[in-house]
Amino acid sequence: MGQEILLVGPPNVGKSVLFNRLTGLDVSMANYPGTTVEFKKGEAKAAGKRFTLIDVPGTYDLNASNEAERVAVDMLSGSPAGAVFVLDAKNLESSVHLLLQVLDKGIPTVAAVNRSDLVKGGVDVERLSAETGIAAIRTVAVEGEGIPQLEDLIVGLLDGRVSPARPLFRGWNEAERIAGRVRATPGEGGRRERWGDLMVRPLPGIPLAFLILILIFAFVVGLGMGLRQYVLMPFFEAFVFPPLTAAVEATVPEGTLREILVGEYGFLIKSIEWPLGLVLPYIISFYLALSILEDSGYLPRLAVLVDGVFRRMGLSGSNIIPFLLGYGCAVPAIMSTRNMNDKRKRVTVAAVVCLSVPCVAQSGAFIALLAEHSLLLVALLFAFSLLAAFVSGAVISRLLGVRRDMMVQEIPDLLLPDMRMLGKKLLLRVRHFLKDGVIPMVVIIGAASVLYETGVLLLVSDLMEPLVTGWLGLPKEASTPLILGVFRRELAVLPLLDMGLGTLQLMTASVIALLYIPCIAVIGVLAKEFGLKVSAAMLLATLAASFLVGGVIAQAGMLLF
Amino acid sequence: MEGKRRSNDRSYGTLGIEAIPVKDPMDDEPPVMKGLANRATVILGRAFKSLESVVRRSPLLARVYEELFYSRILHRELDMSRLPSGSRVLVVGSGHLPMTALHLARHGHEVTAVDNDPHATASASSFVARVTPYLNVRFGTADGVDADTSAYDAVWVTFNVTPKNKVLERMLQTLSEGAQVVFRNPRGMVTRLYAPVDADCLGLMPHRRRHLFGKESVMLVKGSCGGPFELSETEGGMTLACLQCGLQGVIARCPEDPVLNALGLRPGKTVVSISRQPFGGPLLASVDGRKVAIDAQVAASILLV
Repeated sequence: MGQEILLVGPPNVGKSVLFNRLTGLDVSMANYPGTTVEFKKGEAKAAGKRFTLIDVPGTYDLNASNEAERVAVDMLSGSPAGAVFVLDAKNLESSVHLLLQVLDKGIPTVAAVNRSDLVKGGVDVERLSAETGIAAIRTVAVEGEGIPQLEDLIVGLLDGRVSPARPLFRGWNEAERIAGRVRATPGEGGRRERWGDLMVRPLPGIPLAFLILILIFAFVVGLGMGLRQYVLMPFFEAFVFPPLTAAVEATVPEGTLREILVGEYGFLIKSIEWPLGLVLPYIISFYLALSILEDSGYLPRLAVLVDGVFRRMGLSGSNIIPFLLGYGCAVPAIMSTRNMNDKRKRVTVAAVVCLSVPCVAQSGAFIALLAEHSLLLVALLFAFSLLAAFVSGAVISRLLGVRRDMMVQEIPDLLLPDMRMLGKKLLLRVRHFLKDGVIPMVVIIGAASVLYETGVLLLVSDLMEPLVTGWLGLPKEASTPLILGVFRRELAVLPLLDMGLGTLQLMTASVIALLYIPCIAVIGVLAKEFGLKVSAAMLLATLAASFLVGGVIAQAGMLLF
Repeated sequence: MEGKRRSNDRSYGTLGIEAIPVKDPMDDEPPVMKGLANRATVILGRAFKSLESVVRRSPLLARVYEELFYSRILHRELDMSRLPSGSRVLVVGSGHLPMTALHLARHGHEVTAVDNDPHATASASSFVARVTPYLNVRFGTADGVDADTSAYDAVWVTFNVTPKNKVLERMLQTLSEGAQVVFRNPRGMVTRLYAPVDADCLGLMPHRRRHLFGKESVMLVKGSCGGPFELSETEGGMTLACLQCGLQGVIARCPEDPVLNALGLRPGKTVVSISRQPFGGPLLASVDGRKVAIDAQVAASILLV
């Protein structure tokens, strides 16, 4: 571990691109102690000197009150070797305002004026240096321009050759004066800007949003299925399962133990097949799509478009992020609500995500289950999930008396995502899944196969039989996934695969699985975040909702068909 | 169509109310639709009037009618207005069956009800004399467009009043500072039948309560912009929320919020309104080349020169 250098600046200035240019592959994402604000930390080298670069969460102002801003202030109040401040050439006034606030913290600082290719007439960095008393250079992070000069400045910081700037008078007048001297007039908006504007105009923005989301969905599903069917499963079936089965059959005598290991719900087979063969491909495709959405600048535009709908749920469009995350996994989705200040709002979002947003693993399972029968069923189920999300959100927020946040959000320029950055992000997230997601899943599959092969599950199935066969119109074995679903959400679906269900049964079972109680990991997070009472209430509510709605669908369907 | 217009091309009156353009949604409709909608308004208005003149013959029917159409709406309006008991209230457009006036009087307010139809005021006052003689409601025949409201604490403008825009302008001109106007507006699909008043463009921060069947109640408080400031004499009362798409304006006053200010929303800055979202969503504005999405309610607290 070398000395620490902070990378500071407002949001949307290309800070993370600079971060990626400066650091190598040894990058990690961490939560700031006591918060859920994630920040990146990476090992870097400049002129042979090693140092740790910390990407401070982007803020507009050090006096604002949200958690990310508090983290930024806290980091600046520590004792780093220095700070690299990234200014936005296109929005110089607010960048200078923030720079003055940062300089006030008394840390040795150098400045990089990024996006300097986007302004006509250029940026007078010498003037900026003279006005603020710190070294400043021009950069174009996406092109890699100015990176060597920036590294030189960082070496200066590491050597202790930069002294903190004299305290400056703060305030907008000062910032406007300096920015005026440095003189940067924003360039004319090009084709990309026109597209960016069109995307937030209700027409064609809303149809376009539907199109984009459908394309993304198709991409996630297509890539996920492709990876599963043509890469991962053939690989496991050809090279992993046969030797594994052979080895077990050679060493373990026929009987319960062998069945537990390689039988129908064989632990060794399923603990590779489910997490790595079925879920991992969707983790990869989902996070790739999410990273593209994030990096292209489309997410804030989507937030603006959905605000009108979200306000009916007592939320604002910016809250779309936990929902999108929820389509990945409910755990990060619930954690990401922490920067919402209102607990009731957090509970609303968490409840909606638990109830009606299928996680990527479950979505994959749904597609595996329903697509074979009919693609229409898949579309129907996801339409139902959206409807359920809206209705439950509206009801819960009213019950809790949630007050809406008002949206004030910058809409950044559209950007072509950088492949290298996408790759790095994906790597970080897949690593996270393999570390934190696979092991609990394997343990639970193990427990389940023991319960299954020893006949305990069948016993419980017998007890649930009247409910499952009478009210829900499903075969008796369908109680197995309901029990397994407590462990992992997709396990409420996967065992249905081989049951030969009819269309109505498929729909009923899928709706129940969708609304059914969240998996054990999510229950844990809920209890940790909101207390036992709230999580117990959510368990009961999801359980009741799933059996009620599922039963109604089954009964109505049986009456009609 | 006109190209980019500048907001300072318009001149304002002392209160700026007459000069504020109120967008008529019918402008976009083809003439046939406009004619149909106008006709529908007239026909529906007449239908309600004749329904009321039938209902008023029976106290029981009247009571049912009140419960069905008025109780909930009035309850929510009173909740929104928080008018102290004993306030002087003017009801404009009370009709044959003055339910709004009666309800307000029951809540202990001193109510004057006017309608521009002398038949309506006559039958309304005879109805009250017959059914609820203990309630203190004065009736008069007057047109909202010429009314002087300076003596009232609040004015209620009922759903069927036309031209509602002109009436509201007049009310806001003559009311004293701090007094309220509550008016009923169509919303949703019903706006195809009745032209709504664009409440965001009256220069005051509207408070809204939505009701069933395509109605909403809007409350405006004279002299309050909803932001952390009161309007001064010289300010027009034009807010960012009413700036039409494609137009630009200069910010006169803006709430002191770190994020809002950092995004360039500060006094003296020129803002261009780019687009608006349906369902009361945010509007997109551009300041110094930066695009910012702003909640409609926040935009209503940003005052333009």
